[in-house]
Amino acid sequence: MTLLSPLSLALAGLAIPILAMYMLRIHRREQVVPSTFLWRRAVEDVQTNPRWRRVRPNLLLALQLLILAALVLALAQPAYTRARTFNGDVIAIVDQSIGMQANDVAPSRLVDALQRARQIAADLPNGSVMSVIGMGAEPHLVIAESGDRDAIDRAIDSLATISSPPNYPAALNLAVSLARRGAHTQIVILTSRDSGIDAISGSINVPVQIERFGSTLRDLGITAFHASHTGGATQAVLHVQNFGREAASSDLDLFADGQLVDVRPLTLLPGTERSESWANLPDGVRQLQARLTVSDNMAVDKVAWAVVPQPVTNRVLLVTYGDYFLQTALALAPGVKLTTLSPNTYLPAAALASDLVVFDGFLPRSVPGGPVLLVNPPRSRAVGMRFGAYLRTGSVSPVPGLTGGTASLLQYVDLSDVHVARARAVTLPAWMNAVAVSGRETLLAAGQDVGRRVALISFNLEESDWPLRLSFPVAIRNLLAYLEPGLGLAASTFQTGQPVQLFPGPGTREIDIRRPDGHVDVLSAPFLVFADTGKPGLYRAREIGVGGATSITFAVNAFGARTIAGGSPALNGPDVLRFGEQSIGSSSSGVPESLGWAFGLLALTLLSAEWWYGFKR
Amino acid sequence: MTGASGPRTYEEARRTHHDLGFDGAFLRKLERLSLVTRRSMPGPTAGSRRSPRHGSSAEFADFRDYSVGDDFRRIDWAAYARLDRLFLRLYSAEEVTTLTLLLDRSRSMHFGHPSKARTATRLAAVFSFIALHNNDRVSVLGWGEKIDRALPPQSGKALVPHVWRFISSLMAIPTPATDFAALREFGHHRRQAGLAVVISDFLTESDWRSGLRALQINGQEVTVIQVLSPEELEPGLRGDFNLRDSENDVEVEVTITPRLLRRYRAELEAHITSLRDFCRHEGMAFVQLPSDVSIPDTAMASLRAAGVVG
Repeated sequence: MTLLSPLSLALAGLAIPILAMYMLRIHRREQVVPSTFLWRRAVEDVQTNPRWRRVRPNLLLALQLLILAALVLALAQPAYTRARTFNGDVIAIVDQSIGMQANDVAPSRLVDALQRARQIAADLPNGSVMSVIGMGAEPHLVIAESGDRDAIDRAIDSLATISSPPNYPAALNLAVSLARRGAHTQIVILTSRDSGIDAISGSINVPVQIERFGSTLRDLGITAFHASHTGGATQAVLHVQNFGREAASSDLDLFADGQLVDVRPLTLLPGTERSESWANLPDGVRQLQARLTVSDNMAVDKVAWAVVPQPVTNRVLLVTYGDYFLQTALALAPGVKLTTLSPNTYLPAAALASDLVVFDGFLPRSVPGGPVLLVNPPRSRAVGMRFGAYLRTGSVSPVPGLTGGTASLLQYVDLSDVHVARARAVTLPAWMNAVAVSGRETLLAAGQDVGRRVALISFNLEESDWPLRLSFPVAIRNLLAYLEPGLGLAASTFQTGQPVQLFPGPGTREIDIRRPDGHVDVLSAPFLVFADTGKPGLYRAREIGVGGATSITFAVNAFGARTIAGGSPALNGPDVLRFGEQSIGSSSSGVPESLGWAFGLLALTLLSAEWWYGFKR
Repeated sequence: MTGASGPRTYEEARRTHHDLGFDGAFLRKLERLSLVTRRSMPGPTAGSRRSPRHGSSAEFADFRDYSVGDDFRRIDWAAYARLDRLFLRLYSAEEVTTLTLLLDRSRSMHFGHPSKARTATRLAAVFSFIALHNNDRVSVLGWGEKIDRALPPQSGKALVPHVWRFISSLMAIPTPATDFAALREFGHHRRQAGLAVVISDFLTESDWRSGLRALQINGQEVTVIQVLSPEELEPGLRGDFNLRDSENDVEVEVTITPRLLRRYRAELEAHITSLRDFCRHEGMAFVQLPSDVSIPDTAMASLRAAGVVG
């Protein structure tokens, strides 16, 4: 504690005249009255007439001396020195991920982190600026290079937890890019103790300080939950992990379509994990919910949802002269009822009874109006395309920058080891996109015309090594998913914050998506992705098009948001980690916080009390 | 005769004591009043004061104006026929008593606006006027530390100016202090029963109880009139004062605050209450008047209400 203006203490000498006024005999006016008879009775104590008198306990005197003391202290400005951690510009990265929701420190880690961010803003030296980055799956800048304390506080207060993992590298890159050239800038990362953020990768010229919030965490959480329907039975598997430092026990409740179907007691030692599975769940179950009954420092990972993939039977008609690989890939695809015809026996009526028609090395005079997959078409014109002569090709490479549904065609498909001997020269219509090429020649293309989707493989599969690669059946399955009529999804379970790619059927006008909280998002063409998956739960997507309305349900869980990929949560270690220049945290300069205002307020209060007492007396 | 001597008396009184502030109308009202006693007090000569004693004589003594409540059988109808005014016949058997006015002439009585001494003078003038016009005898005693001036009993309305001059001169020069023990000397001046009116501010530590009882012991029917100035009833002082007693020079240092004023008022009220209770207990009439009271209106109403005059 120091005094900012110690000379003001000299004013304490004013206490002497105050005391003197009480010790000296008061000069009284002489007044002759008829009789002092009644006055003598009324007055409590008749004053004698000494020059000095003994000061007796007097509330007024005490109040006046207290007022003087408070005023002197208000002028002297006693102050305590608050250490200033940062000098220069500050870029604060605030972790908003699930880990910050833990309430092992009251009220939560995020609240502590926001308080710390406000404190840093308050300590900001004059002329310095502060930027704040919210770190979730996608880091975002909430305020950039501001010296306005109020604006910074408002930006900090706008941050809330989100159910996604922290994207530490992206947030750090964004922070580094914000550093002003020539200015002394420091980055402070406010994260949870078990986020795994305990080091910096690569060389960064900006000093970094990582401050970790949290104490002894108690958290038993579900980390994976999956359901499937194979072999006529519905199965589910669940993964649970104890993130805390103490053994944890809980009941695991499983609900099938809202009905409790199983309860299993679990006990996990610190840091351990285990799997639970259910082999024969009731037939027809569509949605599963798993719930841990334990109450600990985290709430978000106590419940998980899974959607049971429903067996879909798609009637696929393959018209071919005979292609073993293609026929086998189609036949093995789940949910596919394959019918194979030779071109000689093909009738248009057969196409009408199918959901998808695959023409391999053959094209009828009239291509059916539904979705079609053309493989190695003959030289001709069809469906807006023109097929020319064979051209020599070689290695295959994907077309970069694909978006929308066509991008899903190469999901999990590795074409780097695929070679094609020759392929048809193809002229594509505007509504089709090349997906894979060899040099300048299109090998794989897809697109959506009004009312249907069309895909093209422009070469004879037998003149390539693709059927021998693992990517072939995956690509066939992707093509089937793309071409199948109706709303489709790449999966039935997603992570929080993960964009969901939608595959609407031809003629779809809009897609309504109802979130777990009841909010409905209406998507219009081109139906790219649905990205508002921040809240765990079941989402219901409804496709509205020319063929009526179809719907599909998918689950969003907070799995994976507990730790960063590849990171090992450092549950031990210091709360503050420093990298780079030693100036961070070692600055001895402090911010004097004057308490003069408090004493001024006290003086005012005492003055009011003295006035009130004097008035009453 | 009243009708002939009255106007001359007023004029003389007004000339001699015009500063008493009484006008002719007020003095005519006083002529219709008399002193009221609560017991019989026969005197040596006839009087017209109303008395509980029922007696009358055939010997005519005087007239006085008729006033409401008088026995109409005593109206002199012959005089009414001649003068067109109602006169009451007075007879020698009616009671005559001596009114003794005991006036506190200490220094404290000379404070106030108007001063308590002036109010006491005017009240004494009123009492003496009523008594003399009812053929009662009037004696005036001035006292401070002792009874130092005395006017022997006077009778006859013609002596009103004389009595008033004495009262005025008596109250003009104050004595240092008040000592009610002086009233024990009353027996030296008067041995006959009568009416005694004590006018004082009673702001004294002397034993006023024994002084008043001494009057009763000497056969006096006592009426106590306490006169206080407005400044005493509601002091206007604020701040630090060294108060000096006008009579004994005792000094009191006070810081006059609202709180002290409340205590002063409480002490004053207690003092007045003790005086009133004492008088009630001893059968004395008590009237408390401020010095700025209107004598013709408020003061006379108070005296009537106390049963002192009627």
